[in-house]
Amino acid sequence: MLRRTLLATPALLAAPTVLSRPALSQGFTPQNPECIAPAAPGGGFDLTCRLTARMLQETNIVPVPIRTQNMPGGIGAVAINHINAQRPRDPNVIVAFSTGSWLNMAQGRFGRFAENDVRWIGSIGADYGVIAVRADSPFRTLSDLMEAFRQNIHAVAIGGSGAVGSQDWTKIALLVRAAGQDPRRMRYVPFEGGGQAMANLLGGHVQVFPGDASEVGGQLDAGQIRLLAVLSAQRLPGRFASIPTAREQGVEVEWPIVRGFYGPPQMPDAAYNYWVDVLRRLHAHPAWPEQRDAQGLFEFNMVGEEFAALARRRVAEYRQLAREVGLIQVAQ
Amino acid sequence: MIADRLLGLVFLAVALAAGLSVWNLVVPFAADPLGPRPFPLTIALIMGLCGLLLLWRPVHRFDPPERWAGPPLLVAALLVYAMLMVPAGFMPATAITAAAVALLFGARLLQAAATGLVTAVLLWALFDRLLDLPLPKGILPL
Amino acid sequence: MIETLSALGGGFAVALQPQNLLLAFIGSVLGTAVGVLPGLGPLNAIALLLPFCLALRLPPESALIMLAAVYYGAGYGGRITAILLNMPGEPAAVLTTLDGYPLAKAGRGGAALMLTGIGSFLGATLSVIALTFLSVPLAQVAVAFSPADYVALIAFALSLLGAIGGPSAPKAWAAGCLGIALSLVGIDSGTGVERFTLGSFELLGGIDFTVLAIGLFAIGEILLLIETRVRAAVEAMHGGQRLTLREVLFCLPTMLRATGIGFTVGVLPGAGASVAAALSYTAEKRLNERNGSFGRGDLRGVAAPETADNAAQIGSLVPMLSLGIPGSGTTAVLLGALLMFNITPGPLLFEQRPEVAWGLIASMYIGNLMLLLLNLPLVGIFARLLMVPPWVLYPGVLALSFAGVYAVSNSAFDLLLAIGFGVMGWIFRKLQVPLVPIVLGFVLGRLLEDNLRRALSLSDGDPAALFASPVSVVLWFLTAAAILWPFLALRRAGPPR
Repeated sequence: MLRRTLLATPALLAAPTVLSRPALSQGFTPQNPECIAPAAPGGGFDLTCRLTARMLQETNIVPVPIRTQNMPGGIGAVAINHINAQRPRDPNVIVAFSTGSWLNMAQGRFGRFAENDVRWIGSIGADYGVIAVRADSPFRTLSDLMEAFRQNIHAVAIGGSGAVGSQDWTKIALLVRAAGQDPRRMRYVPFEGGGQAMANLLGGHVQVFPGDASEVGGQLDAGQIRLLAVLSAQRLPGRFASIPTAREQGVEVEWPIVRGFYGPPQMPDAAYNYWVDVLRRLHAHPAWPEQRDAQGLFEFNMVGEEFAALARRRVAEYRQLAREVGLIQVAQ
Repeated sequence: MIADRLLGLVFLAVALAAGLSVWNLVVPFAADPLGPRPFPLTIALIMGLCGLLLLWRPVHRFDPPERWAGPPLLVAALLVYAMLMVPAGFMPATAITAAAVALLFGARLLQAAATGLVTAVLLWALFDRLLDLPLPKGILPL
Repeated sequence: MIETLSALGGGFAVALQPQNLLLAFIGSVLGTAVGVLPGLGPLNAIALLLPFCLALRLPPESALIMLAAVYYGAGYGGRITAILLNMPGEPAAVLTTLDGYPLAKAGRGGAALMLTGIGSFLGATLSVIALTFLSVPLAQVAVAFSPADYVALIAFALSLLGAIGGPSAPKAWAAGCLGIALSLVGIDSGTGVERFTLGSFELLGGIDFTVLAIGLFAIGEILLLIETRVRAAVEAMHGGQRLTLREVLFCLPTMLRATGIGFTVGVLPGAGASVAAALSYTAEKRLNERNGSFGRGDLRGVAAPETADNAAQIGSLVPMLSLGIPGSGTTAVLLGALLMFNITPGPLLFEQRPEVAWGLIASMYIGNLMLLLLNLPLVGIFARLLMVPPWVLYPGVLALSFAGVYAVSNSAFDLLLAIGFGVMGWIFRKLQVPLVPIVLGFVLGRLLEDNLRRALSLSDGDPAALFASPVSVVLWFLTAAAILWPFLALRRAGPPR
């Protein structure tokens, strides 16, 4: 135990001295920068802010401390409204978001604000959707499940975290659509959090759990569950290396749960470029992979305009899906 | 007795409003057999029945407050607090409100001022500095 | 058995290292301190102290020991405000206010706090013993509990609510319905439609429990107090500040029953400490109905929910440690912390990282004892808080509540909502509408609807599924008995005088 502490310390202490130059300022230096977490202390966004901010300061990428401000109201709606109404030009504020925020934008849950009312800075990493079944399930491959969907979509009980229209629901809705079936007819049972959904999968109350890779590792290692597919473009590393992607099995569905930051809609270019550069340098830092793993995230490095384009494309796709299944009225 | 009748009326009105709002929900598709309506409708129905029972058979006598001015003044102070929090900042808003509430609880002017000041500074130090939960700075140059 | 004991011994070897003892101590102190703040519960306390823990670069077992100490310390801290100021910081503490606050007003706040400490210690320690030896079979029971079984369990808890309704049944029922309706505000998880949001995006995610509790209890109570311009919160500290051994023994059967109820309910990942506290309080009230002292400052009314709450907190560690499934929001954060130390929580935790799993369990034996020893001497000091002049105490309490709500939400909307609930709480008090059914309806209402709809969805709409398992049949039978009991008891007692 003592040795582990000793080993860990120099690595983390040495890193900043190697790369201790602050990010190129290009005429901008942050003053009292803030990271808004659209969650209460302890929520997912809260950790994104707190851990990333700590890392940025320790590595001296951002020379001043970034404070985390919690703004949990309305599943993120309060934060985006706040930033548009109160500080649309503020160069010193970034907001944590995830793929779930894209879904909410697509479904019009953030009031009149959506993907064009923020400046997309970039990602820090991504988790990936997985399709989990119990170890003794008759579904052995993704094709078995797709076949069952085709036979009788209503017969398969799916338990996920969150409401109809949420991430877990959307993952499985995309699969169902790929099987040529109507997502409205599937039997989706919403639970309060992935833990409850997993408990119901292990208890045999539901047959399929469309969860996230970071939350199923323990059960996978113990051989209690089987993963039919990971919803990533390439296979995931580590314990997931033997799990085929959906695409390998002929199903064109991906579900990265991207986490990252956006800025206010009229953030000045100098500040925007500064924050983009900050994320770029974070991605390149030698200590980052370990920190990212600790947050349960895989590598997903994308910043700036390229990332903004991805965000807009994804929101448009999700809006299309929401229209198709009637989650939003076509008139909107 | 009249107060209980009024209360019954309020419960009835709330139940009606809740029931109507659920009844008028636009549900995109039936994702589960029960749907979002029956449970709240049942609840509204029970609440409405209770309201009717109270209208029919009120139970209690209402005790008029000893000091009518107290509660509305306190509510006013709290509303001002909530509105001042962002524009004025946590410390000024807290100092003013805490002093006002102290006065309402019978403090002398100096005592109230001290209470306001100490409360504001202590709480700011506790939340903003110690726990690292930022509070609005407002007009103060911090 | 022998294996378990030797593994536990290994755990103690970890937990008894001076560094870890010190961390458990610091954790309980910090946890208690954060838990006292209104609006901040165990979940927030852990999250706020997590970066601090990471900055110390502790080995995982030490960090986990400290965070677990924060967890139960924060739970205890919440009790202090519930008893002394009628301000429950989290759902489970609402039940504690029922008898705790009357005790405090009668000058026995110190005794109530002391009993809380003893009850918490007893409930937690007995539960840790159960956790030590039974966690694997219990975890199997936990996952076998289906949505239909949860429906029966929650229905049973709600049926017991009749016991705490107060003098007027229609008022209690209407209040309970109001609480349930408030819990339904927000996005409906079954269909994604918005209910009772009045078109406001702030309400999409629902109403936060602390906002409701601070409004109804703290602000409502202070509005009532200002009417009379109280001279002192408590006229005098009565001699009975200390708890006598006799009183502890008197509460012992209650505490033992509460441990059983609390631990069992806590093990279930979908129920939680508030259901445990509600079940155990109402069960005790039913059992001791004859003297009618519950709700007016009965020590057993403090012992029951407190013991059950702590037992349930430990119970929720069963699915976390043996299955890697978080049983509550707080255990979810603890699991996240494990992940940060590159430990995969799951069924293999005990095999792969015994020093972490058993070190944590052993530290809970020590930590709970530490918490008790830490708090007993402080009880008198806390209780004296009420001797502070009201013009210092109440402005401070109000500002503290507002700061707590605002610091975690950054939303003036939540403050206005709290004021609204405060006015409601004040008017309801004046009209003798009981407030506890509102809060319990709020906690249980959504849980009931969600599970009912899950169960019916799984059975394709067949209501027979609700009575399919033996557990649910037993629970429904108990529910029926609880509802019919008052009528039967009335008949046995003869016609009313």
